[in-house]
Order: sequence, then C-alpha cells, then structure tokens
Amino acid sequence: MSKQLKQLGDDIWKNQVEKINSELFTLTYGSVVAQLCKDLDNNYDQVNNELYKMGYNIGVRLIDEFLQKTQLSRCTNMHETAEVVSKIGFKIFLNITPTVSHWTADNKSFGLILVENPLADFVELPNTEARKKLWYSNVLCGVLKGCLEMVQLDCDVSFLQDSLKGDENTEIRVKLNKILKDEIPAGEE
Amino acid sequence: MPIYSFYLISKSGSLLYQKDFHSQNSPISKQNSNDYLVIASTLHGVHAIASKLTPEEAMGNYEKSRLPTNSNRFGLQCITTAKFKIFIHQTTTGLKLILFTSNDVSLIQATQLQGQLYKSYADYVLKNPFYRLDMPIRFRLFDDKVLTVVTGYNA
Amino acid sequence: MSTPSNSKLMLTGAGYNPVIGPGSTADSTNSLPKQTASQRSVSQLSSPSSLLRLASTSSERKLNSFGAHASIYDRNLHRGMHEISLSSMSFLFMEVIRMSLNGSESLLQMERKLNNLGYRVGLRLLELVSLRENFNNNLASSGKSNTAQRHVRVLEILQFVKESIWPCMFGKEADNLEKSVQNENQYMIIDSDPILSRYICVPKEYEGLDCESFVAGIVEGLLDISYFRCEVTAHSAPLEGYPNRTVYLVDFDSSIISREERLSKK
Repeated sequence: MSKQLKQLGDDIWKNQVEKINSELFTLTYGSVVAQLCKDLDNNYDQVNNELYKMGYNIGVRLIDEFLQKTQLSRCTNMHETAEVVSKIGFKIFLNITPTVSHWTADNKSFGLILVENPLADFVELPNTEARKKLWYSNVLCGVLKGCLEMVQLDCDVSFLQDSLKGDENTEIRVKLNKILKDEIPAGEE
Repeated sequence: MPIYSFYLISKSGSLLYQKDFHSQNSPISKQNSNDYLVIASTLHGVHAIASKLTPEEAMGNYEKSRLPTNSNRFGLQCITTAKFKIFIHQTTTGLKLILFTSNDVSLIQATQLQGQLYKSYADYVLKNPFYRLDMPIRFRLFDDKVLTVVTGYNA
Repeated sequence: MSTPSNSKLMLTGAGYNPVIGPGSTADSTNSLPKQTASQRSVSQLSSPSSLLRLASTSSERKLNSFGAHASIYDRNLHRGMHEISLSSMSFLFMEVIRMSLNGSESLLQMERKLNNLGYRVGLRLLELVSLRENFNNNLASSGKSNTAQRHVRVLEILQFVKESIWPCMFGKEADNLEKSVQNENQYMIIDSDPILSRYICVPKEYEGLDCESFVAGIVEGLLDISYFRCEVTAHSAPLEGYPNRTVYLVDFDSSIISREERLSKK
C-alpha cells in the first residue's frame, strides 16, 4: 500500500501541481515569524500559538484541494492516514516526504520525521530564549490539525523536537484522540 | 447537453452559491432567492434520508470495492424528471456540488464537471483571504471561473 | 557573525543605512529569529575569497558552535533548487494578508503592513540572488577571481529586478519595465498575472486595497539596500483577460536621479 501511495503522490506532484521555487516561501514565512515575535514582544508561547492558528486556518481549507487532487476516500486506520499524510500530503504541497516512525503500541500515535524542511531553510535561531521556546515551524502542526479535523479525525499535533534547536531530528507527533462520528457527513459512513 | 444551474451547499446545509446559466429553452424557471434556499435545504435533507435508507450490506460491498472517489457514497446521486436531471456530489468534507442539467447528461459527465468546479472552489474561494468559511460566496473571479467551466462544457 | 548585533555592525560597516525604509522594518530587537542569508552574504560579497574559504572549511565543520548538527552556514547555497506547490505559497500569502488585516484601521495601514512584511524579504532576497549570480559569473570566467558586480545605474538595477529577482520569486520575468512620462524619477514594473494574487479577489468592503503591496515591499527593500532609495507602491491595472494585472510604481528619491545624471556625464 505504501508503495502505491508513494506512486500516487509522485504522479500528482508531477502532473497536477503548479510549482514554484521555495525561496520566496521560505523568506516570506521568516518575515511572518519575525513580525509575530515583534508584535508579541518575543513572547514565544504566544508566537507558537499564533503560528498554530495560522496553520489551522490553512489546514481546514487546504484539505479540499488535497481531496480534489487525490480523489482518495476516507482512510480505514491511522496507519493508512500516516502514510497518506507523509507520502501524498507533504509530497504534493511541500515536495518532501517525512518518515513515519515511532508508533505507540495502541496504534494511535506516530511521529513524522522531517529530514528537509523548506520553512526553515536559511534559518538559525539566536541563542536566546527563542532557541528554547520557539517552535519555528509550528504552522505545520496547525495545518495537520486542521486537515485531519475536516475529515473528522480529532488529533493532537505538536513538535517533539526540532533540529533548529539543536535537537537530533525534526519530529512532529500526531496523536488520535477520537473520530468525530457525529460530524461525518450523511452518506459517508 | 446544457447545464442549467449550479449550487454549492455547505456541510451544515446552508446555500453557499447558486447560479443559473441562461440557456435557450431552459426548463427551469427563475426562482426568488428564498426558493433557492428552500431547494438547497430540501436536497440536503433528502440526501441524508437516502443515505439512511441504504441497507447495511450494500455499505459492506462498497467498503470492499474501495472505489477511488471521495464522494457521496450512499446518499442521493441523481434525480431524474421529465425535463431535467439533478446531480448531487458530496465531498469527504461534506460540501455538496449540485448540477441541474438536461436529461442527456450522464453521471460520468456530471461527475467530471463537478470535479472541475470543486477545483475552482478549492482555488478561487478557499485561497481567498477575504472568504469566511460557510459564508455565501461572492467573488467575481469565482463567478468567472464557474462560467468558464460551464460554458466550456455547454459549447 | 551569528549574533544579530555583530551583523548590524557589519551592515553599517558595509555602508547600509538602516534608517532608510519603513521604521518598523529595522530589526531593532536582538532576539528576533533571523534569516541569515543576508548576514552571511554581505561579508562574502565584500571579499569573494571568503566564499572559497567557507567552501573549503565546510567539510571539516560537521558540528556547529553548539556542538550539535551542522548549521546552515555549512550548507551549500547552490544546492539544487527546491520546488514546492504554488498552493502552499498561496495559502501562506492568504495568512500574510489576514495578519495584515488584523487590527488595521485603514486600507493604507494595511498596505503599509504588507509592505513592511515584504521589505524584510527583499533585503534577504537581494543578497541571495546576487550572491548566486556573482558566484556563477565567477565560475564562468574561471581564473578571474573578482567579477562580482554591483549595479549602480537605475536601469541596470531595474533590469536586474525584472530579469533575475522576478524569476527567482515567480519563475518568470516581469512583463514590462517602463519609464514614467510625467515624472523622471518614476519607473514602472509591470506584471500581467502576479501569481501571489492569482486566486484573490478583493471584495467591495476593501475596494482599493492592493494585496500586491507585499511584492512592492520586496522591491522597495532590495532597492533600498542596494542604495537606490525609493518608495514602491502597487497599483491594480486590469486588462481584458488579466484581472489582477499590477503596476509596481518605483518612485526614486531625488538624490538618486541627480546621482544618475552625474554618472551619465562621465
């Protein structure tokens, strides 16, 4: 299954996606983060929140483009969801494929390891409080949260580690809380 | 094979968008804006009822076949009248794309067209910072795009 | 070189006047996370040999000063271009606009915010693109170590914006470059289909707002830091089939025009 999904992700990237150089994207995101730090007086908890909110707002919209391009139906379990997020979601929007890893025993929580991160190219955090507290790419968590919620998966999404902080990897954790049965549109289940 | 009207209905059943396309001998008469709301909520309700009527075993089969489409699995797909058809396509997020067409339009053709309109919605509505989710859509660019898609098909 | 205060000294030393440009753009706080392309490249541009030095030492520096993984300074600036979906950029830009909308009391204030956000991008983009171009020039004319070029004439720098900056940002050149007939200090960069606002349609309540002020800010930032003091504004000028066609009006400071005249006489 994983192989088929990878093929699908690659095909969509190749044939259906209009592409641009990532540098403007990277620099624009940097400008946004810097502005937020300034507006919020370097209160990094608030900056993290704000980035998350921005991402959420993107996620609840981006999901429709994802569904339209992939024509995929609802996933049957979290393993499938994880593969779809990594091999198709990340692929067709950011042209990267994070590694799915570190499943918990209950099969409800997994990690996404980002070897590359287009948001953080050119970025080095100053050796201040920012390095301890700021989750620079937190917008990604918000996006995932928003997307998954729109297909009725209530999840917690957060960074576990970030190489910008000197951590070994950059890892996002996704944990399924519950499936929002009541919210599933009629005729979908 | 003309398209007479296009509706977008949100997950909660509110009418987001409605457009009549002026074509010769359209069998569909112009309604007032309140009637459009009634049509939208009626279709929304009937779709939900239809999905409830679908027997359990049919769902099982569907689940097995895993068709690669994200849509409207057990609800209402098509209503045929003497003069026109109504096609309903529901996405996984619960958005409904509804087309009123002439009788000679097939389900496949309608689905294809609904796919293109879904793309226009994903681009010209959802990427617009001035759009608030679940609110009626009033953007010139989206109007233009819908018209291009439909007239491209009608021609 | 990794601390912002150092870089500021460096920038001042290199002649950059941080007073130029919107006040809010000057990075005044030391603890802001910084994108460092500009810091790095200023020093490299001033002496191309340091670029080689950096390249030769990079393999030895697997660990950075924190004893952790290699930092961005160790990465090759000329690695293959990474592409992403235009959609991702469009969604990010959507949030940029919403962020500027937030708490703004007037359209003017909002355009100002967009301009500021772009300005910061422009400062860095200039360094990135010119560093890369000069490096490529150096490769092409192997042997000559110093062919680094700096644009000093108005037309040169505007051509550079049209033919190098635009492709880096949008994958295409700007469509046109024109000189204003009425004002000798005004030039216009024209884009018929600006990709950032491709999906955007401004509703009636915001009529007159130009989202492309962000791009105007980018251009202003990179011109300012190149010693072409100016103000840049975006103006919607739709044509049939090009609903979002935009004119970026570059209004140079009078000192630039008199410098231009001086240079012409030589």
